[in-house]
Amino acid sequence: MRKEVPFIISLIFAAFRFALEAFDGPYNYTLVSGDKLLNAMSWAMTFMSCGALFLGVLNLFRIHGNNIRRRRPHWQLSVYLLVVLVFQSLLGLFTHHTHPAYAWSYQGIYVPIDSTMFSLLAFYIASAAYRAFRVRNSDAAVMLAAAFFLMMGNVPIGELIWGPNGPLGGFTGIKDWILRVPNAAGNRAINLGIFLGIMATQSRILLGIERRHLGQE
Amino acid sequence: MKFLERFDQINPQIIYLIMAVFLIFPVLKPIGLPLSINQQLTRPVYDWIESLNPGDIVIFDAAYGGGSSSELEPQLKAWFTHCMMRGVKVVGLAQWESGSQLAYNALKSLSQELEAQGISAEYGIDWVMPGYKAGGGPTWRSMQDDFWTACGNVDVEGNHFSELPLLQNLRQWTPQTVKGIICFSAGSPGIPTFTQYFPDHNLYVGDVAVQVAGTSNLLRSGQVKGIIPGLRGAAEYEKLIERPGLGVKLMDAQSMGHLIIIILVVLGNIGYRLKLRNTRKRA
Amino acid sequence: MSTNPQTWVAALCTLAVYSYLYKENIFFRIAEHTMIALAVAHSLVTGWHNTFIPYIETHVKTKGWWWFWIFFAFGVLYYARFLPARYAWITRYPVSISVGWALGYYFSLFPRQYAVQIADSVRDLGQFENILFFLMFVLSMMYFFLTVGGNSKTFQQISKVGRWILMINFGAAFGNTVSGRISLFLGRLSFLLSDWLGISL
Repeated sequence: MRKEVPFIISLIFAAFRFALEAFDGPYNYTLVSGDKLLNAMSWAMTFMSCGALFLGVLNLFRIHGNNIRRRRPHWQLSVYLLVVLVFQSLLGLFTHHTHPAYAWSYQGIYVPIDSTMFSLLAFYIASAAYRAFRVRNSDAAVMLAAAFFLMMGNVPIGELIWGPNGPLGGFTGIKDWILRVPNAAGNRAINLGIFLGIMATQSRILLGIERRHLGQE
Repeated sequence: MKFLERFDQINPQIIYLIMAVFLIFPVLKPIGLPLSINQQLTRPVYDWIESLNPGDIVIFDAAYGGGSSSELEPQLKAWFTHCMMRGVKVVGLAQWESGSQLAYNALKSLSQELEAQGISAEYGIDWVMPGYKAGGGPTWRSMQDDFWTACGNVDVEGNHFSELPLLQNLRQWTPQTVKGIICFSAGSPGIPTFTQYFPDHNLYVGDVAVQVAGTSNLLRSGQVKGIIPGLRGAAEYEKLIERPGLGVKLMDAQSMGHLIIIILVVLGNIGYRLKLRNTRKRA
Repeated sequence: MSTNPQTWVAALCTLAVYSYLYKENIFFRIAEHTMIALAVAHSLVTGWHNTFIPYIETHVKTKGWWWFWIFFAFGVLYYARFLPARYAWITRYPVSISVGWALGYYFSLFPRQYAVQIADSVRDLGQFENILFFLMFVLSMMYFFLTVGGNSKTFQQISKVGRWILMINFGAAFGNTVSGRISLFLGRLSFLLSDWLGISL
């Protein structure tokens, strides 16, 4: 029963939403307040997620609390993390996220670290391109050629070498054509594959074959 | 030959150093290489704002975080400046919590600069930032029927919508009340929210370069009407509105970065081929 | 050079992260832990002020939708995962509601955007570029046909062309990725040079 009841709840909500989305009558059904039932349900689902607002914080407490209790390597950093977490959360909850004190650390610490973390990828992609981009077969050669035209078409130096007024529209013209035709065709094929994959998974959930989201017994 | 073979295995730290050093020079001393406007991607976005009348409302979605702000903020700033220059009213939403704060801070300081230059960009009248709203696609769809309620009636600062003059004209989000949407997108949630729940609206995308290959598919199918592609797109937009900014200045460095990577790939392949040939000879 | 303490902190954070390029070190680890703490706190704070409080005002108090608290209570059940194993299964209730709600979406609205793309693939086949696109699309799809005609030599040759088209797609994605990643670095570089060191760019 611990899995059957949740599964039945899933089915009820699935059927309910399907009806709300797919048929005109339920879609346009309005409550006394003048709001659509569909919208009211969407907001209710959002409000449900508000019940779990502290989930991330508690999860961090669990993981880093364990680190501290078991004196794992770098447990001092876990203490530091929890102190920062509690301080920033309380500051934000009791003031507002636009309060200068809160915004100071967000803008001055979080944003630069986040940006810099991603910008590390500029170095890794250079290194990875150099180490992994070897022309071992025809597939790799085609990929490399496409990447070359895209890269040259993306930067002014490419325009300087073979400008948009040159034959075939230069690097920019070729880049645009690649994006518009073969790239879009390949991308669409992959997208449709993903779509079919998602529908297959959803069908398994609907039929009760896939129940891993309900956890272990 | 031995020397060339060594290109097969350059220490990663040396590659990092080359990248860093060679990118600093063009940032400090750009020479201003030519930059054309992409008619297929960037131009339609510019033409969209040009086609609007003063007082028309457009909505942008800041679906990005700090990790992609270097690419998308120059785009947002150029596009926002264009809107303010044309008298187009801007309403800012965000599917990402971080995007809400970043876009608001960026536009707050930009609007002060614009005001100082005599371009009207007053908060509440010319632009408003309701910001991040949780609930994903269904909540966003519900904004079409009742924008105020779906947004919880408050903007990022906690101001009630009734105190913001611009929002008095935006009770419902329809193609008649909002003359187009632009999603500054760095990933998910992002573009699919609009292709799914806003199929009747004109959608434009301020895209991180990484996603442009994927979004081109949507451009072809007409689900997206125009794309500002990465930092280059920002530079093109700055050029279109004749206000060259950071995007334009960094384009020479972009050229240098691309050249380094192309050279590294070529060197790596030379080293690889020579090593392969010598190994076969020895065998 | 900047005299703003916030700019200094931001610059030091930037350098701490870049120090990882040399090797993992304590400065990077501190930056990493700070980022996680601030990100989670921000998610909580914005959810609280932008959604939770306004929803209580707009829906619960103004409209009198007290039934919203029932959904809220289901949301609270998510915390059951922190309880001992014999109670942790309670968390299945909010999960099943969310999954069911999403399931309804997948079988109603979700296929729409793909239907648009399929229809577009056969649009205006009088034009050469559209024919070419259609052929490339079909060839790419054929690469994914794993069950039908897999052993035929002709089929394998055709699917090889499909694979090349997919390779062009990956190459294009790579080319654009290079552009994007360099932009991110340039963003940080211009911050360090201009905002922090005060060099005019």
